[in-house]
Amino acid sequence: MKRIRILHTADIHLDSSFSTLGVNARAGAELRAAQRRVFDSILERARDWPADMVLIAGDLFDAGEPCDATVAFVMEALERLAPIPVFIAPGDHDPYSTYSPYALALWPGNVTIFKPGGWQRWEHPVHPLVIHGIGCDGVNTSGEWFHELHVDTDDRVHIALAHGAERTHQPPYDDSFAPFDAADIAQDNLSYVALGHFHDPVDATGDATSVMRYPGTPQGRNFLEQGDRSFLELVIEHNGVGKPTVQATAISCADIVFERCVCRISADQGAPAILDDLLARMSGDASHRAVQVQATGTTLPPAYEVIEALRAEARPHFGYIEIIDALEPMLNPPPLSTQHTCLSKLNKAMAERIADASDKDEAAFEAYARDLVVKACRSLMLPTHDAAEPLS
Amino acid sequence: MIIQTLTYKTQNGDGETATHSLGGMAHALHCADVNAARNLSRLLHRILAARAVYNASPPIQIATEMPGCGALTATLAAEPDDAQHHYSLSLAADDETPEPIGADLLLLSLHEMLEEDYDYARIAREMAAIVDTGNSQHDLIAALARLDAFTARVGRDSDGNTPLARARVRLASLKKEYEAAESALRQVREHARSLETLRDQVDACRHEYDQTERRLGASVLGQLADSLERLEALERDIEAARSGKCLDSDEAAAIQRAETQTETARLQVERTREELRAITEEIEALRGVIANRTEMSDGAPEEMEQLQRHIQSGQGRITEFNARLDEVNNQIGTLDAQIAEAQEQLTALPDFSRIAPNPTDWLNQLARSFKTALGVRDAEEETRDALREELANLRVEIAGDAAIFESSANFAEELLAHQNARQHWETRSTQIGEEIRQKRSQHDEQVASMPGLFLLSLGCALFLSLLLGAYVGLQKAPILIPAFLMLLSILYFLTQLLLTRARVMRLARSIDKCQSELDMMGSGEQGEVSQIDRLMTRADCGTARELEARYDRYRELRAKIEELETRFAQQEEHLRESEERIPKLFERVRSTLEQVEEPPEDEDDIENAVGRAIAKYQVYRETKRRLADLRNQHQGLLGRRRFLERELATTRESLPETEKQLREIMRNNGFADEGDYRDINAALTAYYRYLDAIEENTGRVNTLTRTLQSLEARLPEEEAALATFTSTLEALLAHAQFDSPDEARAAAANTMALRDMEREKATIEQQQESVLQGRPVQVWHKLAGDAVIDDDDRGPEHYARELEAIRQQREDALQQYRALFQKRQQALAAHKPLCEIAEDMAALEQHIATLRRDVSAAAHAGALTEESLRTWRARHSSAIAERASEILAVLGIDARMRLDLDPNDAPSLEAAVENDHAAATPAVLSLALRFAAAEMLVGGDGAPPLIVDATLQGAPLPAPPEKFVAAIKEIATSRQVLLVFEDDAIADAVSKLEMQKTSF
Repeated sequence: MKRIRILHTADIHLDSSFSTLGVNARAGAELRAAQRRVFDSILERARDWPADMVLIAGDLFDAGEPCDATVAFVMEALERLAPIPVFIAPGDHDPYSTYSPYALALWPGNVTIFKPGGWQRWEHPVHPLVIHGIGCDGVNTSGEWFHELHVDTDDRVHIALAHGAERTHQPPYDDSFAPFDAADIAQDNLSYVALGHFHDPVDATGDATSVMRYPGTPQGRNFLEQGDRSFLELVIEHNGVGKPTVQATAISCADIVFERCVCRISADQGAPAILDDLLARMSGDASHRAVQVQATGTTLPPAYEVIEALRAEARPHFGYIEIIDALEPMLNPPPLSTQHTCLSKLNKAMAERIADASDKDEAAFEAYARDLVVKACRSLMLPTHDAAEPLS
Repeated sequence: MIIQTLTYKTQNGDGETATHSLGGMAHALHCADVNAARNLSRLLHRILAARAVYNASPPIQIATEMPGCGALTATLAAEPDDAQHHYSLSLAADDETPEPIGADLLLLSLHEMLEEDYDYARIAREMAAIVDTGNSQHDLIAALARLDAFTARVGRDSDGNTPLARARVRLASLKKEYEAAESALRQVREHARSLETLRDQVDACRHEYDQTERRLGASVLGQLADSLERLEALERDIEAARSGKCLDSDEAAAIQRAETQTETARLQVERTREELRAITEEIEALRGVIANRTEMSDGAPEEMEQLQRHIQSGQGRITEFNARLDEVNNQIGTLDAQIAEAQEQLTALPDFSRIAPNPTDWLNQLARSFKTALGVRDAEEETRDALREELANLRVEIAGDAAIFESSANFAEELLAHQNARQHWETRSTQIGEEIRQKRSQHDEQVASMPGLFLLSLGCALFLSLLLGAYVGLQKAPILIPAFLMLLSILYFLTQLLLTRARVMRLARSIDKCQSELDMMGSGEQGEVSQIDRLMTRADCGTARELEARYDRYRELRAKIEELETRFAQQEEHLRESEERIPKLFERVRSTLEQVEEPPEDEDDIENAVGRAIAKYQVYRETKRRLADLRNQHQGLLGRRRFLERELATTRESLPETEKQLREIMRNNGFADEGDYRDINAALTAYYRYLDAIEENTGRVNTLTRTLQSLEARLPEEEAALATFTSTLEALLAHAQFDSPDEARAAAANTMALRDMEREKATIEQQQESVLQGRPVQVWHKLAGDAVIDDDDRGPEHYARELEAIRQQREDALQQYRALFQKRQQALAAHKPLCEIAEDMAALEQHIATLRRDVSAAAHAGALTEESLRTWRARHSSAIAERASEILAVLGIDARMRLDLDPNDAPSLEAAVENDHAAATPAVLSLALRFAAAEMLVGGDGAPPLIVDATLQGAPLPAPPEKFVAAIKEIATSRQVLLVFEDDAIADAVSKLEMQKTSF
């Protein structure tokens, strides 16, 4: 009985930009460092297990031309993994193009990068194992290459490595790149198809004769990729007769887990109490959590202050925290509702504008303007965002 | 909303609590002292204005601590008879700040109105703030200013050092940084192809290195297998050799040496004997040859030499003549070719003899004539141009003067007339001026004498009057005499005066007449000299003399121009003639040059054409001269050839006799082979060679004889040595127990072979070590992998060299790759990664959006606030003033108030008091206005109670207590009013007006 151990990962998206989260470069660098730590931990696991090989099914980098430091980091990490062979099939984010590191960098000897333009094969010198792989070129997005794989009918174990979207399991939020059906590639003698593109783990096998798995991204990058992430450990057993058995196990690996939660802001509960509540709700170490908090309640003046205070106090505790102001504007707050002063009349007019607002943003703007007036009338400090220097 | 009940601990120390129902809309809370009253009013206000209370819906029960009194619980209800299910709330003493908005509509403190500086302006300002926010300290104008300051602090478009401006600048900087980083990335892309090529080279080298390394492994293993096989064979051979007979190397060497010596001695003896025999035979043969030669006669050599010289001389001359003949013939052939060439060349050239006896002179003369004609024409043209230019210059020079003087028909006459008239005018005007001066002098004298005559007349008249008075008074007749004289004097002086006056008038008229004449002359002079003066003005001349000199110059120039115009016309005629002559001359020259096939293209080509024709003529002349020379040389050479042919024939006829004599002498000297040589020289050469051989054989016989004698002496010695060596060899063989030297040699060879095999074995083992390079065999097996040894395996050394070459190649490619990659890294090192810049840009854009939202929201809030102010201040101010006037009436004051709260002006208050002016203090006016505001600005369902803090601290109430309480009761018709006080007079009024009261 021959047993082959393979580590399968994909969609690591190293060197990602986190500008969509609204973070500055410093916070972005922290999140990128988390991606690197995850990549390191995956390779560490490959060494310790030990894996017979590592398969990376595309989107190792987030862009076609990542910065040299990231490429150097990856190459050093993969070189340390030698002699364990590593196979990379470039994906749609990091296609094998003229300027990509796949074409330019001097990869370690244990790394095999599959080029676009046709399936390539690599035969294991010891095990009866053949790896078939193909890379993306960034131009052809058809996925027609999934029809073109030809696997020999022999007693060896055949594995395919590629990047594309299996139509049946296409999640709504992922791009449909290189769409294909599982039946397009499934073959009797093809034991396993290591896929990449979907950021959530997906078993795309269905009725196909070959096992097909997406490991998902091992490190989330935004709040669409919540919860723990994983890579796959495959154990393929083959006795030389019949079809090999494939056993896949997902291994948790995310360094920073993205989570969403809702938090009600009330006048009688200060920021420290809300923070304590938030920390208690975290399932793990908060410093390894990226949390998006929806602050609900009404736009009573203290609510803004509580949110601001919460932002300031929570930041050191979390890997990343984003507090979304989802407060509902209070149309007639006391004591303005029981008076007929100019301010009360103004409040009433502004409340009508809030109520008549075409969308939530406009209503929030009107409520914010009213809050400014009320604060100005109370001689309170008007909010200033200068202190929160965005690049500091 | 009302405060339904108040519960607090009693002061008697037993810890009991007292609950007071405040069900009525107007309720008086009578406190023991000022502090208690003030604490109570503040506490009630804090309860009513607490945010927690606002956020809760009544009924609500609020518990708090009253300083110095203990716990106080207030029950708030929407209606006086509201349900008893209260929502309990605890209000800490120091953790709830009252809401400032509407504070003065909840709590009215009388002591503020009793301050000394309380005037109309302050009342108006406070009322404006109360109308705005319900708080006398917070008006919307100040809020607008804060909003504006906020906008300025965040940043307007024009502001430079604000957060918004800084953020924009930083964003622009980041955008530039991003573009620069992108640009750098684009620039480094140009290295991509080279990098990829080098990378592929390195990869290929690595792959080739691996392959070669496997081949090396296979090769090493192959060699190892071979050497093992050889080792096995060797070991077998060694065993076989060891079983045979061996001989020690020293003994083998001694036997070998003895055998060699014996053999050498034997061979030497045989060789010496052979040499003796050969020398003897040779001497015998040479002596036979020498014996055949005959003796030569004594005089034969001299005769032979003479004959030989004669023959050689004749042959030399023949050779010389032949050579000269060949040379002459060659020269004739060359000359024939040259003559033909010259004739051909001459045929190609024009026949210059038809042009003129001396074509060069003729052609030069033609060219010179044409050049001269051209030169004449150019000179004429130049002269004409010079005249034209001079004329133009003169015309320009004269143009100014011509414009001045052409208008004058006869300038000389005009000038003369002008000078005469001028002279006449000057003379006459001098005369008239002199006449005027004299008459004016006379006039002045007469005028000066008139006052004296008048005074004398007057004096005489006065004296006459005195005399007549004296006569009338005295009636004395003598007095009449001086009177009569005085009368005469008077008449005389009067007559003189009249005459003088008439003279003065006449002189004045005369002066006027002269003056008018002088003026007329002046005006006449102006009319007459104006033409000359105009000319002087135009000519810018100060005097007529200058003008005259100018005219003279003009006239000279005019004459010169006329002369030049005449010369110019003549020059034009000369030029025309010159130009007409040139075509004729050109035609003549062209026809001449056409004969020599060098027609000129145009006039300018004449000189060149003539030059070409002369050059051609020189070639023609030179060719003709050369042809004549060649013909002369040809004739000379023909004569020389004839001479040489004659001399050659003569010489040839004298040689055969001499040859015959020489051959006879050679035959006589024993040279029988003379007949074999037809040529006498060859025969002579053979003859001399024959003589040399005879001489050489003689010398050889002598030498051989000496060698023979030497060998005969050495032979016995060599035979003795041979015997000695033979006995030594036999002794050694006997000692080693060998029967023959061959047996000993075989034993020695076996020993040597054994030793060689052992050495080879060691060498193979050493080679094995070398091939393995110190590595275990297993390593080589691993390295070779599945590689099999090729048929054309070139050996480990070859593969090692290949590996080294590949390694070097890889190192070179790697070095180039690293250099290029380093260049790329250096180009990118100055820039941050794009993702980082993008993140900073996104964060900054979000920040800018927030700041812009702040500015927009502040502007929006400001605009709405201004609109609210304009609308509601106007409405509220008049209503409040009117209601305050009504409340004033309740307070016993008949007054009309006007409150102006226009937001564009400072707030103002006016009050027209009808009755008690003294009572209409600012405090009472303010009280009325506050009551009115509290009534009108708070209303609707849930209007909170009004707390009236009437703590006076000894100060007088602004209004009489009863009227004050009556006013409160009137206010309480719209909302609950709690009057908190400590004053007994107010307590009396409360009791008198039957207002509900609770004492604390």
